[in-house]
Amino acid sequence: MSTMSSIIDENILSFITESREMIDEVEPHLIEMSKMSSPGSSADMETTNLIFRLFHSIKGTAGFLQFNEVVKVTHEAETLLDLIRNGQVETDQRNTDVLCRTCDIVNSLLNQIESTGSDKGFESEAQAIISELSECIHPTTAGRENAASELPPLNAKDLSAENALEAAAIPDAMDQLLLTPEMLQRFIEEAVEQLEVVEESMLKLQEDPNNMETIQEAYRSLHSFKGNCGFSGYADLEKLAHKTETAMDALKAGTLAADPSTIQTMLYMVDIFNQAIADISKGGPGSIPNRSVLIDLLDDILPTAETDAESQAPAPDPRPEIQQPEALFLLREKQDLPKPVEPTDKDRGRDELMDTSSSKSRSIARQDIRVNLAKLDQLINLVGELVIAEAMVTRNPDLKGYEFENFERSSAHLNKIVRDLQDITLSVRMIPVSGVFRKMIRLVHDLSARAQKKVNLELLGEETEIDKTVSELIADPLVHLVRNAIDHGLESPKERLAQGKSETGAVVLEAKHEGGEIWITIKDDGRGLDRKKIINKAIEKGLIKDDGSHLTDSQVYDFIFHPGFSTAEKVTDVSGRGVGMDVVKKNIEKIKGHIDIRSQTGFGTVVALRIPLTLAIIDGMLVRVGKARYTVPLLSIRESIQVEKDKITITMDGQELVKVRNELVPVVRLHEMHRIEPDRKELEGGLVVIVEHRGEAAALLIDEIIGEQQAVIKGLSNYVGNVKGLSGCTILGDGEISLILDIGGLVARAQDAVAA
Amino acid sequence: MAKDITSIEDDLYDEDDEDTQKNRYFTFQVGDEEYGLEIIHVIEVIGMQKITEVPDMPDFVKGVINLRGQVIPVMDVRTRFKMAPREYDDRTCIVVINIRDTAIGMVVDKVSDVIDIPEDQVDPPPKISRSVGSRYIKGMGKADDKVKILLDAGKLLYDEELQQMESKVD
Repeated sequence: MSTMSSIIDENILSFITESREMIDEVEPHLIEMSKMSSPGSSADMETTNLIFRLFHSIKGTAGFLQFNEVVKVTHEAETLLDLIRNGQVETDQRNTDVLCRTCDIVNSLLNQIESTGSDKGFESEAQAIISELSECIHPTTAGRENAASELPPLNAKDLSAENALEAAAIPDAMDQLLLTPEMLQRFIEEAVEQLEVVEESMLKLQEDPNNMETIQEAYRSLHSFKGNCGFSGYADLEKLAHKTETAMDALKAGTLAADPSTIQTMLYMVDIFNQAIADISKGGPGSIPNRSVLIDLLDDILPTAETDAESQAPAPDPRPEIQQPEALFLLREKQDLPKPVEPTDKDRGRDELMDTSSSKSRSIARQDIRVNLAKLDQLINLVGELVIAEAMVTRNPDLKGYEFENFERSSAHLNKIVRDLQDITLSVRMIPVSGVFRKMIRLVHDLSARAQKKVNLELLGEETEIDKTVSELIADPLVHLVRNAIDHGLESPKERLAQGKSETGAVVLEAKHEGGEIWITIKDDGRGLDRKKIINKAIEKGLIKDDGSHLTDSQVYDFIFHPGFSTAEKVTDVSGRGVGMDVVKKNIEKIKGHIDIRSQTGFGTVVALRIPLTLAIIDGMLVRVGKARYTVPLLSIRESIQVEKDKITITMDGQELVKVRNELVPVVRLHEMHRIEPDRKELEGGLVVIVEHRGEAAALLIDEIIGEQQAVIKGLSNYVGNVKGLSGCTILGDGEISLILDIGGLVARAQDAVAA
Repeated sequence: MAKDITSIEDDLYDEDDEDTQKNRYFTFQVGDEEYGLEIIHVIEVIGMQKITEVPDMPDFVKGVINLRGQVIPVMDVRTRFKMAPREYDDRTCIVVINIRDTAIGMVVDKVSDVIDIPEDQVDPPPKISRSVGSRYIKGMGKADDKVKILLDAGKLLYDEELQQMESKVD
């Protein structure tokens, strides 16, 4: 059975993802904090609280999972933030820098955990950042805060205990502050799951009292539940859960028999917990009014020795011995009575707090599910097939020539549903671009400090949604482009002033929808690309043979994508090696995107990444050559023309060229490449489609244009592998397969033929 | 004699159990000989359908077909064995097999039957053979006084040609 290891792995994995998300969230706020702070002012409360909360959550979970290094580091960061929050320490550049680096360390620790399962191996780095943090803490607080900063290296046990204490000790208003609605929601979701496990195991145990594995499982879930309760500040729940856990431990050790009455009690506890969780999800305080009674009930079933050692509960009232079932019965009666809800001041304060955000707490009922990406892809594939199957049915050749009114109506209805389904499934994979964009805030912050330039980063259209794969693939290119913009694009403050620009350079990152594509643009107002410099470098590298004066700007700018091409005089540690743009190109081409560069000397550069909306479907033009039907991506088609005799040139080695306006375009004879019999072989009077890839063109000789259609892209089988000139295939409405032409490959092949 | 396709498919689907699949062979005819494939590899048998040719492939890869939305490549067993090509007729079938999680169709002249050949009835492949196809032979199975050539599906699909193909593609 995989229970033990898989449960732990699951916990660790979700810890890693959650912590990463939190770190991503912290960074922009840190930078915001450092920007808002002017000397002498105290930091913005809300931001500081937010950062504090995030660090605190990471610490809590890490302590729970016994990642001591993470705990130590985040604990120290928390201490510093606490001081900042109380106004005892100023938020200066140094403090925020140290905190930023703390984020880095935590990230490295998370990576370490992900690959090795433990956070060992970064002790020295962790120690270094801890001492830096305590330096930040010390100067102003030497007297007061010694206790906090001189804590001996904590071990995880102390901490989870400390967490619990802390949670209990902090005033309730604080408690609520520590929990973001998202965290609360996650807590509730997890709690429900954990309780389900406990309940299930108890029921199983009833049937098979000797099944150690189920006890183990219940124990683990209960333990996690307890930890979460403590960490989220629900003291009542935590105490009761602790007691239940003790009982479970006794069950495990065999000192408590798994007889029906014990199990009954346990199940009853689960019910109580569920009620409390339900209360919390409605915005209630999650308190358990008759906690001490319940704890006593548990004490009663526990062997006495255990009770003394473990009892943390308030001294049990001396109460008459009651037989278990009776006690339960009594309790149930009590429960049925209207709850003695006497809101204490504490509760009232909390209630008010919850009321102000009452709409938010309602929405806790909304549930997100983490779904395996592979399953999602399978679903999307199936829907793709459904689209094809639908077309196969409703446009079935057997129906030709018949008029079926009802059938037409039903198939129109089906068609609509299928389209909606397709839209929704495709949208499931879409995530807002903000995650990728926000990473740039930190990057710009670091780079501007290092390059000693003042930069103002503006993010536009963060809510634009892009495919998850796309978002992963554009992250690296964006880093390179932003680096280039700051390192090469923007001038130093002095230069800028001399040119009459404002001292602070602007970098604008924008995402938007633009006619079936997503455009992600990186704009700077720096010095712009130097055409002459690029041409000189290209000549030097042997990329062009003449002086390059006939090249269009976009052709010139294209050179910067060549590997190893850099016009930077000196290589800095940031950029200049000419690797970056190559990476940008490779990644963008992987997702069938284009890169446009516009630049004006002295006014800046705009790099636009044009990425298709989805990777699964393209707009295609269906063309016919003989019996074969090919799909040509619509985006790469420039025009289609009938070839006139005087436009044809044939080189000595037989390569045909067609003159289109002032350009000689090489002809690609698909029928020769694919060994098929076309309707006509003569170029003269034939139909060609002029396709274009990165500024270079080719003319595909075809027999007929059938029409436009959306194509669900399918890979050719692994067995076939990659084929030059093809990027995949798609299934047509009549069930036949149409090969999708890889225009990039075809154009390159044609241009090579001309050059040869 | 050859059964019709549906009854053979029934046989295929009946045998889900690993144990009962052992020593069972799916047999088909190419040219004058009967060949056998371990039943565990065979997914289904479909009639001949339109094959979309893919350029730059070895000659025995005829192209790809659409199998209920799944695009799978099709290999012509005749060409693979360097036998003379023959017009496809209504007996010509595509046997869909699954090797290493890849589905591939094989064009055969005629499907025959599903038979049991116990291990002791399988002889090792002939040591000396001039035929091109001999390297794909796993053994010679004897059933009802006839000899079936048992094929090694893995070798049939993934052989030196594939490596050549890969190097050509890259």
